[in-house]
Amino acid sequence: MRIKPDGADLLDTVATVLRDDILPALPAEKHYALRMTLNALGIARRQLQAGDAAEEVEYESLQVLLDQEGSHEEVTRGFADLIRAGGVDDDAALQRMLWSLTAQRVSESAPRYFLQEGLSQEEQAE
Amino acid sequence: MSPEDIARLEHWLADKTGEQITIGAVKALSGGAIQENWAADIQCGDELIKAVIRCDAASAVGDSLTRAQEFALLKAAYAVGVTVPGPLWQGDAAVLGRDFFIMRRAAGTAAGHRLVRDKTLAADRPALVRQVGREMARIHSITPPREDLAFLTPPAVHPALLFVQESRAFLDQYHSAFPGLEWGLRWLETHLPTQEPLCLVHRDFRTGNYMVDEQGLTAVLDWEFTTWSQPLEDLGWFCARCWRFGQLDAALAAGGMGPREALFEGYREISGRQVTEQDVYYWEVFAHVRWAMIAIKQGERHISGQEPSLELALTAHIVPELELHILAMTGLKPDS
Repeated sequence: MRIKPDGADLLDTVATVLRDDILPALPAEKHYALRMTLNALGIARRQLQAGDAAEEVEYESLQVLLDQEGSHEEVTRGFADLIRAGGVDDDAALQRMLWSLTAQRVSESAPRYFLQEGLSQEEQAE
Repeated sequence: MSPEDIARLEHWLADKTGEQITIGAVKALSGGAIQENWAADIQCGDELIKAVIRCDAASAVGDSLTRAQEFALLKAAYAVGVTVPGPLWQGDAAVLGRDFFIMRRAAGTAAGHRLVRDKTLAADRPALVRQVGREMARIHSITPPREDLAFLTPPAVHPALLFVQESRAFLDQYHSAFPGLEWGLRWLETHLPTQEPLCLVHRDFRTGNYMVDEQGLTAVLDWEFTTWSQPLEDLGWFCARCWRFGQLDAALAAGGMGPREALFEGYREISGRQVTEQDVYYWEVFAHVRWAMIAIKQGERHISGQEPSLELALTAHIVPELELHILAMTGLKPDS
């Protein structure tokens, strides 16, 4: 059993220090580097917080929907190949899968997109 | 740039111009990932030339143009009245150990994040966007065949289809699959617009790649992706959501700077062609797919260990947002 605070908490706390204490003290030409740092910390924190649950759900859904076995990489590749061949053009269930798989990536890499586009929590996860 | 480099440059330019040459105030400028830029004041006989020396960077991306080719493009664009830094001298790799050229230095700033916020720069934004439209129309007035641009190969198939084919070939050998991009490529393939005659297309004309001062646009930069393609590609690239620097209001759809209508109006002034938002929609989707493909390649330079960089690492994380927007633009958003 790991002790608390966990890694996600620490990254969040580090980000607060960088944003509130360090950023105002930096010369303007270093702000971009710190903003990149904060962005990267945010991605790492969200991945830690999310854990592997969503990844596993996605993996299982892909196997069932595609009726394909193999590693997560292999079924993702299988999905990509099916899309390329036109197999998702008219399939609503697979289209929903495509949206939710992509939205899951966005929720870790760039969640501001949902806010900017006015997408609800439900549409994010679908 | 070392003192030895500068001395070699002075010697070379003196030979080339027959004038007394002194080079001073040499300073590194922020360049792209592909090349290095140096500001320099060149005393050439009686004339003081504020110049930029543009060199290949140590690590260059394979599919961009050489500096010699970029110089030829700059001359071609200059000749039809595109606002570009005046081309001066084409370099010789023997001088600096790598390819370079020298051009006049335009005044102003290019930084996209600053341009969209600092309204003292090009205060009349619709006028700026109209000018962008005029610049694009002038670029598109250059058509193949052109002996001076023979290094640009006209595509054998529809330029968008060529992009789809090349992207798929890349993704097939890449370590990760991108279902969202595959959907985008499929959509681009099945919605291919009728092919128009080829013309010169800048292919990276967006906010961040042109310079602006208080009065307006002072230079169109970054010609290393330019090739023969479809004219509307440039308009779509300029208007794509991913190049608006967070300015998502429809009234700022053209590069985060102004309305699409102003861009189309400027374009019509020179080309005589009235473009509509619907005409450009395909090329906005195309822009997102193309930027995502470039972002994957940039991210891979970090992932592979070839060039560890936070900026490149974060570029890989732009891809999901681009993919989701491609899905949204092509009818996959829930309840749309």
